[in-house]
Amino acid sequence: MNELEWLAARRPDTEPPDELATARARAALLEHTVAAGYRPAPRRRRARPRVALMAAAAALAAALVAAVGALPSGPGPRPPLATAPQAQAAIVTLSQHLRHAPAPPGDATLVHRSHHLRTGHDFAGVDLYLDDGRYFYGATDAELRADAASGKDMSEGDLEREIAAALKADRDGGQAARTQMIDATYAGGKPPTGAAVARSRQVAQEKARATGTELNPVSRKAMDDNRLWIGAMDALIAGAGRADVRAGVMNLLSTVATVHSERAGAVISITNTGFSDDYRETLIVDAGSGVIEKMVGGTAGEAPDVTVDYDVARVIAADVLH
Amino acid sequence: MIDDTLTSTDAALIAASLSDPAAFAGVFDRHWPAIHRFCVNRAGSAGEDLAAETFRVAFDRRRRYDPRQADSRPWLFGIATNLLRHWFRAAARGAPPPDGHEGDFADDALGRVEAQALGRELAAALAAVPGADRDALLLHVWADLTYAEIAQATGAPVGTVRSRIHRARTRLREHLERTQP
Repeated sequence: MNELEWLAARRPDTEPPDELATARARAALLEHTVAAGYRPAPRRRRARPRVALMAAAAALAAALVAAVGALPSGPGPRPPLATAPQAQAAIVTLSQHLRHAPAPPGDATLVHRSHHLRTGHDFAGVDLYLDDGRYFYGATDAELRADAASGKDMSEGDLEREIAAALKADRDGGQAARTQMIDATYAGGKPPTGAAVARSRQVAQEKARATGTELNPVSRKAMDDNRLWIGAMDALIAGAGRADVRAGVMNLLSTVATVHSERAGAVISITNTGFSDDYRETLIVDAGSGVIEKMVGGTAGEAPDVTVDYDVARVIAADVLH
Repeated sequence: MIDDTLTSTDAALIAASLSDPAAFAGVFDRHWPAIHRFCVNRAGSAGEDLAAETFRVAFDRRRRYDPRQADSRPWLFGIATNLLRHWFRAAARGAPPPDGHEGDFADDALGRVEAQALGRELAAALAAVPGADRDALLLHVWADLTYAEIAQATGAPVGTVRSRIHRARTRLREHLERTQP
């Protein structure tokens, strides 16, 4: 053994940084970037996000945000991307873990989902997301095949945009990915212009005056976070078969201050409390793969308004459709 | 069709962070484990804070990053090494924590704090190796940096790095010949 080998053999066997230390250091860095004077140009948005077909349950959350009021509270400095490193630790770690996951086989993601509503109006659906951007839906497998056979591609470009934003978050992270995901949730991927926002604002004010209700402005940050939550959920489901998409989604969710994640055995629960009236939504994902298993939405301390169970599989589209 | 095959280089991330500072988190995600390990190996538990500080200092200096260097690892290890040197000095005399400014540590002898972090056997073996030589050697052996990367990290010519490592190896070999049967 020469002196280099002797020295190498004595390199301390240091444990990799634990997830809390990593999250703490990452959050400190992000806060440092904000403290360094980062102030993006203020943007205004409508309060109510577009709700994608497969995330229909999330409409509850969106509607609640919209119900509070339709006016952004105005521009201002953007708060730190993450303020509670402990709360983000599980998803930050998962995101980093997924970056090294191998590419999955197949060319499509098949999702069987069943919705259980508090009202008793349960329903189920089957979604097939092809990697080339096409999307087919059916209430049953047979219906899915029939729709696909008739060439009924239901994609509207939104899922592709949301997946692209998740991939950007995986590759680059940062505010640009956040903005891309928020923008992806608007029709055509285009946020409304200042004039359109002003018109919406005027309509909301007139409606409030006519009905004698009070408008409680929702902060721009809250609306952005709400859109990001919905877009991320769409991408998590539509791109469920792809580790890079899941990694990007976890990265994006870790930028939402009202999101808390916690590992419990084989799953991680990711809860967003950034809604009004104690409403919250929780995504349950596999702790190793980040694949979504369940979504629960409802008021804290009460029976859930909605529970959606997901069964996600990576498939070859031709095998499913024929 | 989404193209997910593109992978941003560190240089691209750092360039992006000039207009979108949060993009710098991508550099952190890539290199935190390695920088953390190196700092903890050299400074014990204090290394964790020094590793975190490395990325904050790097962020502040990102405008000076050479965009021709696709991989920022040598640059980050250079900053970490400098912070370690400051910390070893400051901790030994009870001074405030490091501020990341450049310093001249070429002749730093192995001090009490650094020796304590290395442990008795390594401290004895490296005691006769001057600071800059010790840094070059440990960047080579513990951080797996090439001579060229160490030159980039420390701002020294490759020839100087080669001389430093040669000198450090000689001192270490002499120590081992004396102490290891």
